[in-house]
Amino acid sequence: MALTLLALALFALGGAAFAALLTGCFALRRMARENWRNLGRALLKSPLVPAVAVITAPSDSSAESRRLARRLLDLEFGKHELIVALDGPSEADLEGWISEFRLYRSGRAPAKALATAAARGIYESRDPIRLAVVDKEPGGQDDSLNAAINAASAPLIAWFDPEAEFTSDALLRLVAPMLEEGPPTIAACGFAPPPAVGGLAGHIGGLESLRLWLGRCAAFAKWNCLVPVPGAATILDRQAAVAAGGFRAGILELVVRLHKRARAAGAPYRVALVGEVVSQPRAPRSFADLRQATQRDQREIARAARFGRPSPMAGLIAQRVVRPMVETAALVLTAVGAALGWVDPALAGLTLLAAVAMGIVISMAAVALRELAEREGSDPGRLAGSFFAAIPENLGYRQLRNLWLIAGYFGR
Amino acid sequence: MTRIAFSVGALLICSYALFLTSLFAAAWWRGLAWRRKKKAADAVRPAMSEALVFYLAGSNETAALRGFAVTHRQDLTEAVIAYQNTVGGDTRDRLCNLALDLALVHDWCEETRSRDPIRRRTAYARLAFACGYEPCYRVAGDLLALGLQDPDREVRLAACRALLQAGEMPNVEEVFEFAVSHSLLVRILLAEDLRRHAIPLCRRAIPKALQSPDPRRTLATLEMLVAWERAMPLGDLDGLLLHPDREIRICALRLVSVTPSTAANRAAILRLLVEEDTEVRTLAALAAGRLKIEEALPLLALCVRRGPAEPARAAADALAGIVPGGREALQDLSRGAEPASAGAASEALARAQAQGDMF
Repeated sequence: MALTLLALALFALGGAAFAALLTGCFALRRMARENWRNLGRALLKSPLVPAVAVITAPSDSSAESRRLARRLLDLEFGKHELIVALDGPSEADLEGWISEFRLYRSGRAPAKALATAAARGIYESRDPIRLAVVDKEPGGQDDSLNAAINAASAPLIAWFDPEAEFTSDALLRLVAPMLEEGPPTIAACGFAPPPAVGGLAGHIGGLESLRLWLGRCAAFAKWNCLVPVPGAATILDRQAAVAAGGFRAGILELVVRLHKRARAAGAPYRVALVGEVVSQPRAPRSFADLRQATQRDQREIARAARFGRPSPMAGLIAQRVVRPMVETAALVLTAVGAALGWVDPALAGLTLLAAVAMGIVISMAAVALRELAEREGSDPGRLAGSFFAAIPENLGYRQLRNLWLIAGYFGR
Repeated sequence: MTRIAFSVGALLICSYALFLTSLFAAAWWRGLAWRRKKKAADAVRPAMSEALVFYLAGSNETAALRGFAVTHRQDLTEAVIAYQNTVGGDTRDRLCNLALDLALVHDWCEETRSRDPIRRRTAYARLAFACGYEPCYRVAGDLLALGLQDPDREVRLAACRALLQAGEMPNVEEVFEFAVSHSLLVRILLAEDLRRHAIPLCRRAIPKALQSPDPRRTLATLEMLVAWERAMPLGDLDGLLLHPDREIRICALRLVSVTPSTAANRAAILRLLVEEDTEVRTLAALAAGRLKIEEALPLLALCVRRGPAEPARAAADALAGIVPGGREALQDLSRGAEPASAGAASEALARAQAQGDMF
């Protein structure tokens, strides 16, 4: 009886995931019809576009971190400034930044809008680049991002996933929803699935990104409970972020808190999705990459969930935590029961249908619905590769991924 | 019970799978067709571009282009439109004339009636390009005014652009009204196209909009004027500079340095230099510096001494720009006992010195 209930629960969860993909597909079609096109040039030149502060808190002072800073400085925008918050850097680390960007200690004093560890100084560049580096006492990643918000004077704050690939016009595309009429936009997230790479791991990674894009991005945006996903770029209203208390457990948790506050206030608001190619996660090329990406996302969800579970998180928890546990339990019980002869073959079949066949259908749906959402046709070879990768994905990989999801959530 | 659940589940999964497989098959065929179409377009494009370049360079040989208009009409349209940002003057007229001659403009007019908003957007955007050429405007005519009522906002925007291209003053005023009564994004997108009509608009439409009793409308008008970033023959702005709405004061301060420096404007700026609001003070200091208001020297020096950092820095820069009185005041301030104001003054002097060295 318990196993039957588990199988039925899996069917229900699978049905919900399918409904989310379908909603996402229609939401993307609608977005494609309604969204502005070719805004770039006008937004780039206009003095009416509000300034944006791009914030980043590199975890180290490696060449990779400085390369990220260069990429962020290269973003096309009329009025943007990069604020790099260094969390208790050593003298050598700070010297590395100073020499690379020709920094000098400026007289600029950060605002005290958010409580953070003390700032030792703010450095600006002698070169014609809009860069401010905040040297501060150690306080952690979130504390550093809050220090960057304090140092920013722009009304909008942008955050880019350091592990994502973003386009040089990303800010121009992200800022558009913040300027539109209608309910105030408190944040906007840009995400698009990366182009598929070859190999089974690449195709499986592509399927995961498609489900993420249609479900967690487009459908959540339609239901106005969008939260940033791995690989996304996010733009926020600075005032709203400060009023919400700034970063406590990553960008996901901050946006969840923004939703919560806006709902409590009762006024209409929205968190918009920019469904064009703005920012994409790097396409995984191996199963190790897939594992790393899955667990990273799961840790972010776990951190956000620990700060309370308002509605945007409920669906996420059901799909990313409850479902893997139920599925794993159902499969283990079925295997043990079948070995001991306690499970009826029909029940074993039902469990496999709910756990494996439903998974195949959902992944195939993601591929087919993406085609429905887009106006242009995809390469037939790549399309077939992604569509049929749904079968091996759900015969082995999915079960392994469930274990990664459980381990990632519970912090092991 | 389990068997029934299994049968129902299997049936459901099979029907989903069947549905998805048919969707996949359709998408696969579409992908294949798309690829074939792209290949065909890639093959013909070099010859098409060559024929177009010859025509734009002055050749009257259009036989090849007429052939393409029959065999590859869509590709030819795209090739023509691809030149819209690269040609101007007579060459642009020539290109528009070709579009008219090959009845491409008529196709676009037809497509404005499509039920698909994306097709309508494309059609209006193409007409916006062509309507700079009077004969094309005569063909499109009433459709553009109809476009302003379209439910799709991008179609409305493209219709506005087409009307601005044609440049008839009543239409320009109507588009200006449209811009100031819509969102900031619409103003940003139309600002560039409206900019070249700024002077005629200053005669009637702008003063009327600035006198609106609705502060949002006044603010929208000011935002549009700020976006133009050009000198404008507007009279006294003191009413707006001292407006009770802070946003209007801020916008008027951003605008005042591109309007004539009247006594009323200067007096209003002096009053704003002692405001409590630091952003207003900062902008007033910037305006005083740009207009080089000598009467503002004592108040600018006060701003530097009073702080905080941002208005002090702006006031110090303004002083540095007013030669010789401002520079002398800065030198005095840099020798002062107050480290913050002395620092701001020294930095401004250094910046002015560096700029002087540079030029």
